[in-house]
Amino acid sequence: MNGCNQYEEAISGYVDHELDRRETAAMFTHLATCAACQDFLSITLRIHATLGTDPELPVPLELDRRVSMQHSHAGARDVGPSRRLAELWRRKFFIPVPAAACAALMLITVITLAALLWFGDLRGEMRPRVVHTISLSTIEVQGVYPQTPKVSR
Amino acid sequence: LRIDPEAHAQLYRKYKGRLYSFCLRLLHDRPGAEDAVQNTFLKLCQANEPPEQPEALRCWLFRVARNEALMTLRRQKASPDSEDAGMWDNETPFTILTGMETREIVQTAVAGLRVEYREVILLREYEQLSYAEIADITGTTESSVKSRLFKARKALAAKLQPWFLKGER
Repeated sequence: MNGCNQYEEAISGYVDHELDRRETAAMFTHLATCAACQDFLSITLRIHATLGTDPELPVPLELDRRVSMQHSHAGARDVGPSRRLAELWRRKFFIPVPAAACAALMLITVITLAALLWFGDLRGEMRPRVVHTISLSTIEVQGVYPQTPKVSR
Repeated sequence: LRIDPEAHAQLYRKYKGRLYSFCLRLLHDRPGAEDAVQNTFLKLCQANEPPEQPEALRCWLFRVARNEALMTLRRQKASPDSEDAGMWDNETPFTILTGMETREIVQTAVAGLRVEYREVILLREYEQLSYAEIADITGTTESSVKSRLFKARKALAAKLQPWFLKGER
């Protein structure tokens, strides 16, 4: 079969119905004078005929069972780690946006009131609350709570 | 799931025999072929947009099954085939073929081909797929498919010539 590479490739194409008329004619012209290529065509056609009528192999019942089970579980097995986390977040921790906004507003209000009360009270301690002025005949007491009253005579 | 269960079951019934036969003939390993087919249909469940046209879907299924089978082969083989390796994966001596029927002889010869030649022969001879479809499935070009088919047939012919032509000479 040496020296016939071009025609052998054409024979392979001919078996697959891939040659046009011109290529087919050239191949048969060569075949008329080449016994080796005649043998190659003959064997290739017999291989083609043998394999073309080969039946499908029986599928094991175990495979049927595995595939039918897999389809019912595919959704669960399909999810990757990121999708699993997203699903967990959605199920366990998801809060609707309006509810989240209300909660945030309430939190801000509580913090603001607490801050006002706390700092207001502190400032109140530093500020004079009541100024007491008592005029007596002999002494005058003037003071600022909580400082020690100043007594003058 | 992106494909409804009934459609999935129909596709499985339609293609399971062809895909399993292809994978088993490619791998020569029943558990490996079962895994490849199972993973193919799992990927069909998970596919965002599986092809709707029957021809495109058939190519898609064979492409996925072929890739799954090749992954199994790679796991089984410690070293990948080198470029200059011969045509045969495991040579079968002619003496073993002599007691077999024609079908068994041809099957045995095809089974001995290296995987890149075996896959194109299987897709062409068993599935009658076009060069373009085989190129799509195997991720190569049509000219590469044509060349591989020719080389595979030449190797098969050389191996089977003594048996096929024994009564003609």
